[in-house]
Amino acid sequence: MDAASIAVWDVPLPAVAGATFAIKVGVKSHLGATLAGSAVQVCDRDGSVVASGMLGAQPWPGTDALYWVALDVPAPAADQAEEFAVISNGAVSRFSVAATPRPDHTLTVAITDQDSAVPLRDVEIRLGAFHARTDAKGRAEIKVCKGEYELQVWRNAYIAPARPITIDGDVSVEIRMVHVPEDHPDARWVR
Amino acid sequence: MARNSPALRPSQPQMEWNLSTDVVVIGAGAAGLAAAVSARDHGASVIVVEENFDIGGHAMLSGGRIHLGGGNALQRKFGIEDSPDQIFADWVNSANGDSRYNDRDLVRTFADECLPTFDFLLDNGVTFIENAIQTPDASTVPRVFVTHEWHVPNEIIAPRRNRNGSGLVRRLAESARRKGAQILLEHEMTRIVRADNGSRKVLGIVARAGGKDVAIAAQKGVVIATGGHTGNVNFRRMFDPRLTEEYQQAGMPYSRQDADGELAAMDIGASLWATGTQTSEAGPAITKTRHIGTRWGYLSLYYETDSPIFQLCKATGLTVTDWQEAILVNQFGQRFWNELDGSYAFLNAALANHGDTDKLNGGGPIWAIFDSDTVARQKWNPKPPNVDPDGYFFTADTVFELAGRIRNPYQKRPMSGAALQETVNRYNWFVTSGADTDFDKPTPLHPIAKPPFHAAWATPILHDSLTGLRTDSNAQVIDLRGEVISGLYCAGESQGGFAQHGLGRCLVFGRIAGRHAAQRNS
Repeated sequence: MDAASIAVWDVPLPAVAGATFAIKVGVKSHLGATLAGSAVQVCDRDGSVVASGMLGAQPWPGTDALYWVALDVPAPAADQAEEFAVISNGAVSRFSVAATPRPDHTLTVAITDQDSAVPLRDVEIRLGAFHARTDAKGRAEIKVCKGEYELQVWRNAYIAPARPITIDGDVSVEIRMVHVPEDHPDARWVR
Repeated sequence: MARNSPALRPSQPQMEWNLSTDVVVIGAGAAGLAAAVSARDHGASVIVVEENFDIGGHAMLSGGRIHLGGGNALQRKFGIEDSPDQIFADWVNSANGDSRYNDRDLVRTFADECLPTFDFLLDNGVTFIENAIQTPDASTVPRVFVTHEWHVPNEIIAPRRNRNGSGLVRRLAESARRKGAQILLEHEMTRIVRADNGSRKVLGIVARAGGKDVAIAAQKGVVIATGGHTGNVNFRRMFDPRLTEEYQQAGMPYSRQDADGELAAMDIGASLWATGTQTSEAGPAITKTRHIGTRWGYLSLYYETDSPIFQLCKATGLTVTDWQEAILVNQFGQRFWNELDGSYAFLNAALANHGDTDKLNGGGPIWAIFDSDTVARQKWNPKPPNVDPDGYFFTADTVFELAGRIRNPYQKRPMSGAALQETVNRYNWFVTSGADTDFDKPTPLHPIAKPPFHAAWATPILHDSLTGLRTDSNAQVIDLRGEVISGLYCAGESQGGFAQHGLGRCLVFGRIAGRHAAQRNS
């Protein structure tokens, strides 16, 4: 059995090219060892160490013994995606990140129910590599780069078609989603 | 045939009957209760044997959506034009998979008997919610009305979850008892007794109760209403060899549907009928799960903790409202299809051989894999009694560790941590890139990254028995040579030839079986 395994989370979607981005790395010993203080390295595709640190003293909340550390990793070049390797205690894991130029515009999205006009929270918004989730007021602000995109929104039991959008400055968009109630599980079949 | 098979057992002159009645009904579900009431209405004495501790069978857990049309009173109230001829035309329509292969004699009878069966239900106290439902099947007009849920909560097996079938079976059982039918619970039919002499008539049954055999003579007939075969692995694989032991069953752990009626009838020569309907993929023979992390997670069946059988269910399950929230992997830790799909394309992928060289049939366990962000978004509490950690739900600090923790009776080999980690890494890349180049899941939204991680049982579910025993239009069972087995009837999901989903056909042919048996000369 492998002695340890690794989790990597809070990877940004996307990272900003030329800057660093923060991730969290957790390592679990399968031999029951306490890994506080163990070394963690992040390597780029060439095998060069681009970030390193030591695991903290406390396990990540909700885990049994996942010792963790926050690391800053240099982002790939603009409009590229790169896979990184994370190495610790003999274990290797990988994660990928896409990078864009620093976004210099703000897209404001307001989403409501088409029939009731009630703001819709927790709508996932995707715009190329950029994403956001609406707040309780049905709004989200996304820092985005200039360009042509397809704006997609997703919420369970609602639909709205994807729409093309041009970002050449700050832009506001209002979207009305149509409620399509989830079929009652019995409705699909007769019984 | 083997020397000791029931059909060749010694002749029955020495048979000692413990009980005697006109009509014996095997099974107290929708079909059996309809048969019992109908037989009593036509003057026969009736004994119903039911293996379970309570009545209702599969129908007790159903939504109570009753597919009867033809221009009934509620249809007329809603201005729905319908007729027996329209029912017949719909359910023999060659354009649809659920109507194409049906026995047209059975459909003709069903069409003609829908109206009186609807009235029969009303006469026996069944009440309906006044809302007409158009179903996504061969029916071209709304024909489904839903019964009211039974009004006594502790007499409902899955309370407060729209299991309105409780209102159907409780009312029919109440009526059957009031009319004088005797319902013997915890009596499991073990064989059907047929005369060895020239008449070859069915004489009665033997049931097992309290560790003893109880022989019950049936002067007029025996009605098989045992509810189908999905719970019998060997039997169901006659129609679909993929359906090995790992699959969930709708109705479990209350309604076993273990083909005991079919087997007992086949022991005395009965034939199956229209067996291809089981695999026509036109109805819900197999479905995707909806409640994960529990052994029994049928779409519309959710056992609350106060269910009288919760100690058997062990967990409610976590209800998945959006399959963007998880990936589904096979026993090797590999994705196999777009998780948003619930069609037979998905099911066929789940049931495919994924590389198991030791077990070629069946697709093996399917697991939903997700992280703590999913738990937060779905507002789940992934702890007992919501999940069953005894083989059906696992949690770990890393994806790699999670794979190693999966221990389940149907997971025949350990899942590779490296394989599951690779699957998750690849999926997370699809989230980053916005495109699932493996299975075209539209815009994968959520990485599986934040600890802790979870694996929840999500293996497909077997639902309808769409084939069964051959009968004529009077619900009399037919043998392998095409001859009626005198005194033997079948209705409900054990009956073949009419692949309509739901309670309608069960009630119609149950009522017909009871009536015809009662009217036979003993």
